[in-house]
Amino acid sequence: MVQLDRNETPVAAAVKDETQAWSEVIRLDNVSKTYSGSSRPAVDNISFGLKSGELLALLGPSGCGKTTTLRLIAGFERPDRGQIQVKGQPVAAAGLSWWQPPEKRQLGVVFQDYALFPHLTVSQNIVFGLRRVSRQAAKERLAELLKVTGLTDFSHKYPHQLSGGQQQRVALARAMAPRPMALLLDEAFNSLDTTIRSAMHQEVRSILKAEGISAILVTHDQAEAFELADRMAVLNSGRIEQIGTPQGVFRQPANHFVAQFVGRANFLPARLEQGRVESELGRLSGQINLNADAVEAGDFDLLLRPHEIELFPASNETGPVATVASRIYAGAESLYSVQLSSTGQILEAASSKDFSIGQKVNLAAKPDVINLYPREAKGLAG
Amino acid sequence: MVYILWQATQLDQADLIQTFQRLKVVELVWQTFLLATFATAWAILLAAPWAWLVARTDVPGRTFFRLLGPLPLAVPPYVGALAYAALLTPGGILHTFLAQQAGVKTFQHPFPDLIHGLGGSAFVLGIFTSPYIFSNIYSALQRLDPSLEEAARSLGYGPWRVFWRVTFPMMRPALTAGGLLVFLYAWVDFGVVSLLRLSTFTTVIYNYLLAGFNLAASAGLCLLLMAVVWLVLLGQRYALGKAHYSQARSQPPVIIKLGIWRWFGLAFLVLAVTLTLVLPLGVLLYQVLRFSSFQAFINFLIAQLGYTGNTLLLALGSATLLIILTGVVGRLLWRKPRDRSARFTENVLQAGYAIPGTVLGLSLVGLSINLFPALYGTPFVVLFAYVVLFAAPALQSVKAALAGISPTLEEAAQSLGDGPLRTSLRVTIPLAWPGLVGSWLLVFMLSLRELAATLIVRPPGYDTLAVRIWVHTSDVGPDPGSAVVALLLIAVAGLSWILILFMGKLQVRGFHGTTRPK
Repeated sequence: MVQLDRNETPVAAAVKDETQAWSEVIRLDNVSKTYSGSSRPAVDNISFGLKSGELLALLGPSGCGKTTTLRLIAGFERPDRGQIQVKGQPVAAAGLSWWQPPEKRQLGVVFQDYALFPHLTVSQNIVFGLRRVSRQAAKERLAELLKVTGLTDFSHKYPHQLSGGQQQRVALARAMAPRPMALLLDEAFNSLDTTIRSAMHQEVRSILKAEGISAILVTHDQAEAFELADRMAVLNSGRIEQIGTPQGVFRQPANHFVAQFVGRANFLPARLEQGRVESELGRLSGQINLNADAVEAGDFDLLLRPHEIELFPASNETGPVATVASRIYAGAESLYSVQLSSTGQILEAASSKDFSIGQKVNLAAKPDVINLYPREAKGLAG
Repeated sequence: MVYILWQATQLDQADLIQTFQRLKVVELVWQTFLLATFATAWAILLAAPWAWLVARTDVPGRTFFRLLGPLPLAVPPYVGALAYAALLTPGGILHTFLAQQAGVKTFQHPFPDLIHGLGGSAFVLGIFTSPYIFSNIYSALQRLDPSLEEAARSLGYGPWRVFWRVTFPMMRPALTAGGLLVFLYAWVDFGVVSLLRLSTFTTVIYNYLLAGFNLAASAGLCLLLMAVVWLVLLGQRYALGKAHYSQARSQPPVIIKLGIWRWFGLAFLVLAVTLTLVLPLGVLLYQVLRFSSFQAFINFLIAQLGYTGNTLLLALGSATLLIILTGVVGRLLWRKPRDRSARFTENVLQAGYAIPGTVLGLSLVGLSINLFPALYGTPFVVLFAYVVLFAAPALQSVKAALAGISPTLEEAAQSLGDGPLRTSLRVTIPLAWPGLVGSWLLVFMLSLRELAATLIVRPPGYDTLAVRIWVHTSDVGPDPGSAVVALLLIAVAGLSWILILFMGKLQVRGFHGTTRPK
């Protein structure tokens, strides 16, 4: 069943194999969707699974198809191709034109604008989906959710009387109330202030984990994906570029796009020969992650994160030398832009040391993993 | 539509040309064109200064006159025609009054017929369609960003030149839109021109049909009229498509101090209100007072009960049918704006707006005779005519009612296990309630006053108030009887207006803000 993507890395493949061993709540196979009036598919041949109890983030820039993917799973859109399963039961299969409406899928959705019913109170919103349970059971579930979300004192307020964070918790409680198979969160933290966003991440994560609910989270904010998700899938132009743990994706990005999307990235021309990597910053040794079809030697782009480049006051004339071009303070560390004297390439480097603009510095590369990619002209600028 | 096309093809060409020559079609086109042009010019002359004065100047009583602006719409134009005919016709109220003053009998001093014919028709049509122009220009003036005018002032333009170089050009789309509405109305109007004895397309089609001539010739005329209507609508799309200024209004508009001129402004507004409201309603009331006795008045009223019932029943039926129909279509368009079948349905419903009542009546008569003989001569045909005629404004209104609600609310309800029907009942309808009531009342009002199509397709004896007014005036003249029916119609319409205002104020409890945090 598993189709290997063009950019499949050994790590990603390993994760996929592991996926098979788990029971999956939601499974997408080769799903595609093109909106009428658009020539480009919004979702292009996507396959992934959501494991039980897992928090999976769909991460990507706007227009990458992540929200469409979520809407396809929820049942608000129909796929043109492929199949979607919930708990092993197909809910949408394009070939058989089998399609289950959203109200039958038992998936909770938290909307970007929360979509709280403005004519109902907090309590009425939360029990909205509890139609098939007894009055007593609904009451108990309501009390439980009000307690978990800390909304007990607001149960008789209307949505417009609540703050953004409170509204979001109501939306979460409402979606969780009928005990859905899984929760789908569509940019659910987007309209919150940055100050309370991080606190809400922790809060939501602990609520979900306490309830044992599996969830898919759509976001364009990689920090949000890192903070919340057990695994993340990076999407671009309707395709999944890479899927894996936040750490795995950050440490071993599958290609230029992923590397740049999940953090700051420099790409330095490098040469691989007999297991050794040579670049402008000298010879590197360590674990090599070659993101290309089996090639033993040749020219590549070497990924260096700013924190993987060390800066020293210039003393060694023979080592790589650069000039400090600009500096951005970022608390404990500063982000420097330095220009290599040899090639003129601009690199970004993080350092806690003080350098002044125009100062000559020496550089040393200390990558955790040596990530190599096929040469790409635009990647040179970093 | 299709039926009319089919009918027209039944007519052979030479025959058609001959018929058209006999009917002097060219003259007819010219006459109707003149009517539409004069009516439009007259309506603009009345409504544009009215809108500008109450929107942008310190004219005394501007709030009062602003509220009166859209009111003439509550008086159907044929009722206006009836009132002005009673006032101005030879032997009418004015003639009698003048003769009494001079101490002579009316027949001794002939009075010029001011009201019948082209001039009178254009006069009446212009007055009672002027609210279309008023509303368009008033809202455009409200939306106009005052900083544009301030910018012009800062660039060295005097107030007068600012008006001509900035304000007026910005108003042009609104003026065009309102003017075209009036122009179109004049082309398809039947009530006013038939009562004021002017031959236009609609009256000729009606008379031709009544006289029992072949349907095909009338169908030919209908096609010609439809062609004109489509041409005007195309022109409207073109004109509005090209000139569309939209600005966000950031500050309240600057109020222009008129100084001594404000009294001239007031005089104009008083004159305008007199022409549009005071005179016609006054004449109608005066006519009622001329009833021979109170008993006769009551008896006459009781005799109208059945017609009032017919009118209410038809209006209730069409309003309810249309709110359900356009509710379903409107919801689909709201949820899936790009859905092909929904958009196709919308276009079909919109097309009904472009069919004049006379033409629709004619085609429905032919259609029901030939295809559904069981339905011919039943009120259902009238009901169907209303549904076709008013689907466009109903859909427009329902769409506006839904536009304020986020579609994600429905998706949220669905994700919580509610099917489409339950979602509508629990979420959408409660939220859209005030707007939906407004849409319902809009169709109700439009149905109340519909004349042309009702006149043609109604079952014998199944008259509505509008038909009674027309028949009575056509047979007897603008006498007290028709005035009573007219007032009855206005009263029923007025009550619905009050209901609209009342319902507009009704809000679902606790529903004032948006759910989206700012």
